[in-house]
Amino acid sequence: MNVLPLIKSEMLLVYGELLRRRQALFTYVAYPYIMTFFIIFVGSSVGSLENFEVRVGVNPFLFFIAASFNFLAILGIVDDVLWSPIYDDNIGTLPYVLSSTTPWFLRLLIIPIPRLVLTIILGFTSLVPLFTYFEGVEGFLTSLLLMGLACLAGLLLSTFAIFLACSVSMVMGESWRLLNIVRPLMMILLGIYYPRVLMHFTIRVISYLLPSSHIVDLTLYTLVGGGTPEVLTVLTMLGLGIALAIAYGPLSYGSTKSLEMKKLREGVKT
Amino acid sequence: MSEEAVKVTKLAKKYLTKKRKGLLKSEKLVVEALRGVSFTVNYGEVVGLLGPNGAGKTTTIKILSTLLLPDSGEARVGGFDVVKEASKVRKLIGVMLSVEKGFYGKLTGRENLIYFGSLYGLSGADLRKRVDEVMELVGLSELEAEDKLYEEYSTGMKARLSLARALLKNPPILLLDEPTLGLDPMSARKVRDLVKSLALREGKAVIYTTHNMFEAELVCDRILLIDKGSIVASGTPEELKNKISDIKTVILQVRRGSGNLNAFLSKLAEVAVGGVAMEELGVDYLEIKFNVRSVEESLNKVMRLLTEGGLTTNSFKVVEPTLEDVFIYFTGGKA
Repeated sequence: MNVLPLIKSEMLLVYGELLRRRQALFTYVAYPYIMTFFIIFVGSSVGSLENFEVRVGVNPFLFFIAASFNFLAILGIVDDVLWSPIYDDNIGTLPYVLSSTTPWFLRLLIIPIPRLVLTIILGFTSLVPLFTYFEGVEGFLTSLLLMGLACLAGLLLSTFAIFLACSVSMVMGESWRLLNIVRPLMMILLGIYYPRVLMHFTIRVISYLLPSSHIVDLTLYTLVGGGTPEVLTVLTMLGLGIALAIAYGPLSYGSTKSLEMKKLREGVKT
Repeated sequence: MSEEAVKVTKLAKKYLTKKRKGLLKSEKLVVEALRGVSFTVNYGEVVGLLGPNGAGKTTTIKILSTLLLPDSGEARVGGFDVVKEASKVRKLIGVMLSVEKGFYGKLTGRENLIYFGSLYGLSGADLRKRVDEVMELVGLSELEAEDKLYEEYSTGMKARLSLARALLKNPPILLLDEPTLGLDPMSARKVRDLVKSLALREGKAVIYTTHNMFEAELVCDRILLIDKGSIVASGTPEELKNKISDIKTVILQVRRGSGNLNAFLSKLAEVAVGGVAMEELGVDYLEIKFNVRSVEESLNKVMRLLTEGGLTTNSFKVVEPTLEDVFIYFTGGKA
């Protein structure tokens, strides 16, 4: 099966939905700045920016814009996967998706790809200007590296997101309320705003099971480490992330199939 | 490809539903949606599934569309089993399940078709050409609606777009679930004419569900009357009417509040063959429609009942049965 037309049509859907909702687009672009300024505002009211820079070793503006970008990039890529079963069910497109000749799992796998372009756009409106402003050419290059890592983190989370979305729908029905709890929880577990090393052991173990948490860790190394991390560390983290994403592949395929069968037994809502 | 486009044998399906009892309690109920339904549909034929709400029409369409698993029996579409060979069946069918839903609001009609076309395995110039063709065919080009956002479409446009999607991959078999529901007369006629010509000129097999008798008579070559999950009668519209040729239809217009209507209706049920249908005629009158077998004897009884009930009649007609009367006869007057 040729997946290119599927990717193109998914792009059409994503850009149609986003570009024709101006407020959503504005919020998307503004979000890293809003989040950064909010954290810095709260943080500076209880501490000082200089203190943060001394203790963490990085400019707080750069740290939080990178973290917020990471958060939105990963969320942007996997969010539509998480919502897809519920969304398609609600707007009545699911019967046509399921009765099409494209396997549902393949469609779910393709969903994140157009969102990568949005991540890059977001990178150029948030990461690149601030990093270039504060750190010049080196900052520019760092921002490109961070964009690449965010894209990878989002992509690697796709299989887990499919597994989660389908499993939640299987067990709890189409519960968007539950997803509203699971989604921020997942972001915390990824260690975006709260480094993994500081987590409680049990939570850290769960965090280790999320493929993207290793890439987020790599991002933190790049940001805070004050230099290039060792090759072995980079390879280990990338390897762990990719291996976990692949390992979730059969699970996500199985959960999609199970959900499909459940829907076929009950009758797909029209 | 087999001669018979669709072959359904003893198809049965039960649903488990919940009946709420207060805020916290619920009782499980088993609803028999299909009870051993069997029928065939040939290429070039429009077969109507006609029945009241909850009769099992949509359940049948869903099973044939591979969107619902039957409990027992067999359904073959294009010679393929809908359960074991669902992916092959999906290549042969065009499905229209809802007039009002099923598209992305922020995409235009054309973009929506391109999106679904790619899910159906079409791509590139072929897809774009086919999208233009089907939009022309269903009359969306005529309405200059191709590049309007779906959320700005009228119900008629939505129905046409839904039909366009069903036709996108030029399937030999069309499964259309109430395709004219809620449409204005012009849009409904357009859809009907198109369906009829697709069967006639292109040899497509069409299953068309409706509870509109007039429409069924116009579009369908053959009608399957379905009620409570079973086929209660089948044949061409003429054949169905002939099944009750010894029956005549009586139409009464009764003035409201002029007597004891309930007592009249309960006694009328003993005279009428099948059910009694009632419709409001403005504020003052009710139209009561029922079938009788031996006309003279029955009419005397009805006249007597009217007098006993003290009801004032405005008009009293005896006519040949229509398809609607056949429907009332077999389904007991449910709408």
